Amino acid sequence: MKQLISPKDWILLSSYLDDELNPRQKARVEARLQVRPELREGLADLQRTKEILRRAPARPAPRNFTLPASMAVTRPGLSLRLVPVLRFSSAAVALVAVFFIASTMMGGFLSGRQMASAPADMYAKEMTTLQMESAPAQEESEAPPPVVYWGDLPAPSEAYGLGGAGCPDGLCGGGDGTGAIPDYGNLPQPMIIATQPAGVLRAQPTTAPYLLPTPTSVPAAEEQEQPVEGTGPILGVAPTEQQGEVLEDTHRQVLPMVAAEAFEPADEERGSRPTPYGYIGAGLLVLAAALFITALILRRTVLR
Amino acid sequence: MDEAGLVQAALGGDLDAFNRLVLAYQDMAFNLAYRMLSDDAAAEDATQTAFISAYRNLRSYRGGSFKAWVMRMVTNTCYDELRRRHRRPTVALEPANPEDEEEIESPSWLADDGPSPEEQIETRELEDAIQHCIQDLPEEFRAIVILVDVQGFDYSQASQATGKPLGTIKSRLARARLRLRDCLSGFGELLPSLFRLGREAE
Repeated sequence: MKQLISPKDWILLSSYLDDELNPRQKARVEARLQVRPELREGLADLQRTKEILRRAPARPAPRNFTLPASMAVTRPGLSLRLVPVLRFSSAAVALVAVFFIASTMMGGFLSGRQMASAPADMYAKEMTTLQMESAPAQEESEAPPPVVYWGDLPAPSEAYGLGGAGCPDGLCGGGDGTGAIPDYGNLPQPMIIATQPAGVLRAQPTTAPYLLPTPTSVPAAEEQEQPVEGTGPILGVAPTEQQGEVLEDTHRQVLPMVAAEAFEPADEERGSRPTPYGYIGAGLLVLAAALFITALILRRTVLR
Repeated sequence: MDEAGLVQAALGGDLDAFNRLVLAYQDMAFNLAYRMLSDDAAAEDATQTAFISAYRNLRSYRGGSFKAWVMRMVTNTCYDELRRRHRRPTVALEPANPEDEEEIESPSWLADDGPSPEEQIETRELEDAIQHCIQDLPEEFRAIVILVDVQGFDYSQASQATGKPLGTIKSRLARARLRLRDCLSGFGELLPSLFRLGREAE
């Protein structure tokens, strides 16, 4: 059975036929040709094929292909000189594009932080405004509470604060801060004096043993200027019928929270906002790619 | 003036010197183009385009065999033409009459890639057999076998003319010769007795 000739052997035989092998390869092929007849037959086939092709009749050129002067007006090598220029331009534009894209990314990061801090700033401003608006009320609330004096109005050497004297048993008021119940002794009917920044006011005696408090929340300035009579704001305890109701200053506590939530942008909204630098960078990147491809095509065309 | 002197003169802008080089290589260039394209008119156009391209890009010539450099222009022009044919295949005649929808008999429509009896009679000449088999080769093999076996280039010149390394030239040439051997053996009795190929080796 005849052995098949491997592709590698065919290449060696073909190169041997054209005398394109080095002496060592040539010697090896000749040695194998001595012992393998199929190699000799294969070499003979290749030789005949080459002879047939070599005998192919040459076709003379149908005309002269010499160039007239009109065909040679184009400056030779102009396209070739454009290649490095295009390459340099491509690299330069790519660098600028990278700069813009990097700026966009950095700017996006910074603007993201700015956008994130913006609601906090607005929130702080809003809080400041609200605090400024509520400042009088706070001052009023921090003002000394009404002091109840019993009997005539002596110049009290000390007060027991928060109208604690309103309760005969001493449980309704704040006391002196030590927790001890002050000893009021036998006091006559209470007379209420509401201490205001404007001064000390005399209260009229009432027959009620206890003074029911009215809402202590931010009384109007004109109300505070007036002397407290009857069931004025003394103890800070809401009457029974008003308990559970939303107080007047509720909005001052709720509004800042609502404002903070309203000014907080969504995360995706913060991250996906495009910037002009991004568009410029992308455009420059496309331009750089176009220049590079043009240089590549021009070079391939020129070298043909 | 020798070839190197003509090339230097052409590089200096001497069109006459370049045209003398054209006259020296135009037969070889046209034959290469004809073998590649198998069409006289297309080969003529490709040859002219290649010489124009060679003159305009003469500064890219870096020495070595000027013949191989010019043939590279020709092969690249032929590759461009072959690619253009693949992109826009043309059909010379309509296969059917749009009015009566009957097929129109035409030589191109009836053409067969294999050697039909009529073709065998027509291709008794060696030229036709060779050209038929060369056209059956893949394009990347075709230029190498034409340059080496038809034009008589050595491997280094073929490498320069095609832009392929020597190893590629060797392997492609061997495979192209095997294909040509098989193809030419199909013509059998049409070839001169001296060149009748056997397939005993397989």
